[in-house]
Amino acid sequence: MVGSKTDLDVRLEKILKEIFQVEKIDLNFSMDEIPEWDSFKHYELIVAVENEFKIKLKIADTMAITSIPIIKSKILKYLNEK
Amino acid sequence: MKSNYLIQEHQKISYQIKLDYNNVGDLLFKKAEENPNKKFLICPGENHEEFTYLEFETVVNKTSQFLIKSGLKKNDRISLIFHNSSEFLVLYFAGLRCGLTIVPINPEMSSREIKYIIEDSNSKTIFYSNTLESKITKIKDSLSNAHFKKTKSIKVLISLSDTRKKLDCNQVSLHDMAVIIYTSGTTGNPKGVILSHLNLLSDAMGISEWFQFTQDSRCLCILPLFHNNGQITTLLAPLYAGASTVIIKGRISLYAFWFLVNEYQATWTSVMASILSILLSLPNERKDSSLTGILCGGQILTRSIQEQFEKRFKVPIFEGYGLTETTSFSCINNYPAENRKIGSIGKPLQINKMSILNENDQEVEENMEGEICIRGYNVAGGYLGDAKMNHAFRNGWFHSGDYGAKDKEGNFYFHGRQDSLIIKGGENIYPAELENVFYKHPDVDECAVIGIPDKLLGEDICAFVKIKNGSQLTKNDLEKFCKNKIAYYKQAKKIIIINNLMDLSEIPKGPTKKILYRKLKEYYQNSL
Repeated sequence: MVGSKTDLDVRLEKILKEIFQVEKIDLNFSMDEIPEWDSFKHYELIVAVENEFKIKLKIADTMAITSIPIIKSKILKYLNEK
Repeated sequence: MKSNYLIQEHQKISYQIKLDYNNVGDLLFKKAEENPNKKFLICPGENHEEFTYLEFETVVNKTSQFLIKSGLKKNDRISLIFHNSSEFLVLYFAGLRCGLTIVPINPEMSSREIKYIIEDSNSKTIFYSNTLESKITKIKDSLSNAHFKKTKSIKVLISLSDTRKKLDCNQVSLHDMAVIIYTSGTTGNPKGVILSHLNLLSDAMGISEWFQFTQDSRCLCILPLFHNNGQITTLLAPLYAGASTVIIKGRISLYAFWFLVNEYQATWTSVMASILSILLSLPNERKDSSLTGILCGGQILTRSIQEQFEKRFKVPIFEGYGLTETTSFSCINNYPAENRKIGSIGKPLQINKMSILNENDQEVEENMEGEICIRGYNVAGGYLGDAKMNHAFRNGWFHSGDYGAKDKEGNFYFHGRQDSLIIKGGENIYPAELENVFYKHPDVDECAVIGIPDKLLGEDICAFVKIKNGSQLTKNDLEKFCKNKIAYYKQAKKIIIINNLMDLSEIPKGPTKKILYRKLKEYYQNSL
């Protein structure tokens, strides 16, 4: 079911691996712990998250995304508001 | 008016400039006195922060007292390892205010690179973002003479000292060392460029006056503050005019770029050419009517990108030129926009002189190619350490290593580098930095690293590696080997094992066995 934490983790992990082109990713990592996370990848990540979860993040929220746990909390917030 | 500055030959120009401040701390203090309630700093994001001049100056004053209480003395060096943040800014100004020398370090660097800079700069205390703990843990124990202070938030800094006593700013002189900024070095290790308070203030003044900044100006700072461009053009230059700055973490800036300009009514920003290319590739459109212009430097700006950008976003781009050794910009295209000479890097700021010199340090004729040389108040005293490195500062000029020309109207043109420096997205990378890492692998026989064209970044990195006979080393093995040994942005996009090539068996070298990077570039362009 969309929104259940496990399902969200799996889908988000897939997006993150594809965008950062890594084999493994720790879902507790912050931006500073993922050297591949540059400004262009950040853009790609936002677009991928919006497409995957059918949400439209407010710009202020995209600026707050500085770690994977924050992405998860933002996705949950938007899904709950749907 | 200050006079008789103690300056070196390459810092002298034929007239004196008028600086009203003794040091950077004094500049902040006086601006806060003049206009205490004016907004100085806005840091959007999860923990949105805003400071008036008075609020910021108060926090800086308290933090300065804390730094002194912690045992740091004038001329001691402190390293700051942060992305753009209010914590960086408070420590930066607080350190400068009490006469410390700031060594900003790029947090994207590997632990090994960070350790080198801390040791080379002899930094006594290292302040770092709490998000970098894992990186710092790797080097802490081997740097027993340095004190490490993890900095979680600005609130912690504020709580460190409750004094209301104002620190006397006049103990710091214009000639005191203000910052040491590390820039890529030809031998592989970065070199520290020493910049004084005079350097910072004069360049800030030069840019502020060039664009006629006023108290109503508002700069959007998206470039990293650990580099000179971010520090001077979008922080100290607006501060010089009593204006305000919106500081944003670079990595989240592109998605939000036009939103931020509109939301905070930014009037100016400074970017690398690669940022303009990326913004052009994205669907976001401009919504503001506040942006007056964009300053662009650090990379070659192609006419096509400039035209496309200006046509679509209707904002003029002012190309400029400068290096860490000239604090930031030393010349900028003419303001206002209708006076620009498109394709030129502009005319010298009033704080420095520029010339095109031949190999005998004589000025060449108009439109003839030579080395771009600069002298003036913004030119660094020199590099930290080995005097041999200071060869670039000779005969009354700083020799940039870039070649270009000047037209009869005094406009300068950038043609290219004399050496093999790679400029990737505005970051300077010498081949030796990555070559030294490859050579640590026992199966690598020889290697050479070149810059290759990249549509968005301007240049990216390609490594040619020859492996020892019998070795089964692959491209993937080498990628894994380099990971964590050097900053991510310095790693090669392409690794070419030359043993697998039919038409290249050796790295091309000259008679003295010096690598012929130009030949390798030609080979890449023609054969791959």
